[in-house]
Amino acid sequence: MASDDPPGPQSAAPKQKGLKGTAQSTKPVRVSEKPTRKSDRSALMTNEFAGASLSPSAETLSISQPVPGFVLPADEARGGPLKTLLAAVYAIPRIEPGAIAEQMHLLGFRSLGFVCLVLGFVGGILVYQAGIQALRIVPDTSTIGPAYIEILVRDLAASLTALMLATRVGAGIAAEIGSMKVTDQLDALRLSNADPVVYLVAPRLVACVLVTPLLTIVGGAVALTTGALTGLWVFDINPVTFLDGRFVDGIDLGAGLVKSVAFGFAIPVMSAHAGLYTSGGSQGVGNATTRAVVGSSLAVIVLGFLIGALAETLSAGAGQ
Amino acid sequence: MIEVERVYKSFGEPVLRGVNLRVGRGRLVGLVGPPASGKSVLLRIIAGLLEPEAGSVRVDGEEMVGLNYQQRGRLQGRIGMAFQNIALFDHLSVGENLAFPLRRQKALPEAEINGRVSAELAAVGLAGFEERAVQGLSGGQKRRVGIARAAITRPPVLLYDEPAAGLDPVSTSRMFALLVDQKKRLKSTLLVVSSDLDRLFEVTDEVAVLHNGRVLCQGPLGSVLASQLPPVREFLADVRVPAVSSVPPYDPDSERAPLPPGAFLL
Amino acid sequence: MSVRSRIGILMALVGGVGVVLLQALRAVLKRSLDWEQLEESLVRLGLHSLPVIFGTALFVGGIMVIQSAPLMTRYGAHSLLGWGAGFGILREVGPILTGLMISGRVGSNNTAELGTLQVTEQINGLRALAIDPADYLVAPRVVAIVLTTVLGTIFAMVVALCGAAITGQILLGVHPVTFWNGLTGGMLGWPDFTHGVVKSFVFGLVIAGTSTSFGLHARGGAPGVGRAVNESVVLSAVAIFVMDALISFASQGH
Repeated sequence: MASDDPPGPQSAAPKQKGLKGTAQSTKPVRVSEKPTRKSDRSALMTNEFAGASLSPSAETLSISQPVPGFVLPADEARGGPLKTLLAAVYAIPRIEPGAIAEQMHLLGFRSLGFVCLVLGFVGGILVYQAGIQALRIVPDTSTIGPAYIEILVRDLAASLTALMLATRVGAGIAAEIGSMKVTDQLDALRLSNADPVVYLVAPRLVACVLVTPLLTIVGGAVALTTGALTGLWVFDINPVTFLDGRFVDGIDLGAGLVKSVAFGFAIPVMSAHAGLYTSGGSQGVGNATTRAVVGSSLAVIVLGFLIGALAETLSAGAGQ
Repeated sequence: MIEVERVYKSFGEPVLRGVNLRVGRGRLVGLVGPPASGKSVLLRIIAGLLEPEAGSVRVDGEEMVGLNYQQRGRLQGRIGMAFQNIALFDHLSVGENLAFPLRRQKALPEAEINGRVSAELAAVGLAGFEERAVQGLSGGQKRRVGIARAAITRPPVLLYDEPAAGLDPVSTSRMFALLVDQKKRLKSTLLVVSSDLDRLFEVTDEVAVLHNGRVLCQGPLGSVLASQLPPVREFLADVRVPAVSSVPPYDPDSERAPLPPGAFLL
Repeated sequence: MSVRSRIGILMALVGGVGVVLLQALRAVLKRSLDWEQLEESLVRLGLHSLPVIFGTALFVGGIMVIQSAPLMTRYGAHSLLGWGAGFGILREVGPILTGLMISGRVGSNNTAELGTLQVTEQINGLRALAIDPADYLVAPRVVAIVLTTVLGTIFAMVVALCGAAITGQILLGVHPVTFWNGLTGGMLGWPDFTHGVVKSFVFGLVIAGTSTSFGLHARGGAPGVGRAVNESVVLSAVAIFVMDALISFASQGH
């Protein structure tokens, strides 16, 4: 059986540079420098089977020009996630109606419970831990609420929601696309004139970008509630005192929103990329899922760090 | 028809080293060779799913290599392929699987699609299977759905990768009879990869032997069997020359025929 | 699905995890677990996770500092940066994030491998050869994962603190010595460290049990393996947070 080949999704409408029209588009090119194994070429020339019909003759080979565009239909130019991102973005105009809504339901609505659960717990834990420690220094509970809210808006809601989505949504996307890849369904799609990027990847990308900020807001609200409740029950903090947003400024809000959108891009891209380049049967699908979760999580953390650092320098510059 | 010229492909190591192949219009050509000789890779290159490093592939006179995805998609509309691991869309029913390529290629108005689906299913002996889920089918049934899906848009070129792998002898015979039936009915060009040499040779017009990344010889069965090349002779050593072709015409109803006592349906 | 059947499924899940952990415990106590497999698992799952943990921890340490930055500048409490980053990392962020990372990487890998073995009938093959999958597969992996989680968390704590110190210097101009003083100045102590380590142990059990159990119960070919990985990773994450809450609240004031 031929070795497994990493596929690539078909690209969106690229500009053709120098390739004309449709048929007969390859120009025979006399090459002195061959693209692959020189040793094999020379072996061929000398190692002819006498009498073989249709034996390869001379030195001229017609070399196919690399296909312009972002991603080739199969194995060439194994791209990084960036390539997948660009291909998916270009594919957006050709998404079927209803596909995005379907994905928003599958990815967003179904993750709602999970996200709320986790953020709820974390809210409570965070307020509890922070409160205990803070009280050792400054026995004043009035700033716990506002500080908590600031952290939540700036970073925590977006990052934690995204990490949870990375595990749930990311693993799901990679598993689906990956198992379609190893069972040749992606190739079957291509032969049925359906571009896997348009059909599978792009709807999930758009849905995720839309859903992640929404889930962040909902999750943030839940964390806020549990945080306030914890403040009330453990530290006797009046909810009115707690729910004071005075530390939150425009930069914090901006940072949080930008993060959630960026995460919404990163997760489906890393996961779809892992799925598209799966190889190796069911083990491969498992590996793809792992790569998706790890890759998405790392992307979330690194992006979060960068955006946070940027926000911090901005607010320091603004004399906060 | 298919013309492959001096195609090179390597995955780290060379797999295809200058393949030449010509499949005339309306002919059924069998592609055989030892395992891992690159047969599936070659099929995928012809289908436009892989790009060769060098060489040209022409389907019905139009060059396949070096196209961008749009042009390739158009050309792929002329090609139907049945995969070795069948590759049915498991989130769709059987009928939807068959309707999918028709819809994507806008080949038929919506009203006629169901009719074509039913007709195609009946032609492979699976009449009435439109609503069935893919998971519940047996291996042979799945393969037949795959073949129906490949043929449903009436492509002029059909590529089959091990259509009878893992099937019992009865189903295998029926499968090859089905291929002949398709060739006659659809007047398509067929390129079939199979390891079941005896059965395959009963139905092929020509045979091409792929060895070590090159087609060593191609021609009618008689001339291939008479080849003097050592790898070919070695590979075909155990092949019985089939008697005058005695493949009965394919009868879709035979799939539902009452089973002889003691037999069981796979 | 009715509430009853949902509860039933939940109990089956918890039961499955419990069975796995008990099997592992028994194999350890009887010393019948396969040491070679243990070694191999430790290297593959543990050693190879170190880069990921390192990278994550470094950035997380930095994020902690960025988080505390407004507070620090507001109160001018730069000397407290060490304390601020420290308590978060030792008590919460260290164990949780390491747990999540290990669940995502090691746990999902584990589920994938075991799931593949299961759907390709290799586990039945093992039984047919009179090899007990519990000794050969389950126990070594559980032990390896728990060890990896605990040691990995300690490693992550150290790295995260370093990352925090570096970020503190670069972003806020807090000298590492000040950072160190804030860290060891007496407001944080071994109890906080132990708190984190205990959590990591529990998380390790959770990850090991869940991933192994889901892997062994995978059905249905490649898609089934994908599903099993997905579900196990999600459940691990939820369980980690639930356990974290329980432990935090149960150790009030410690």
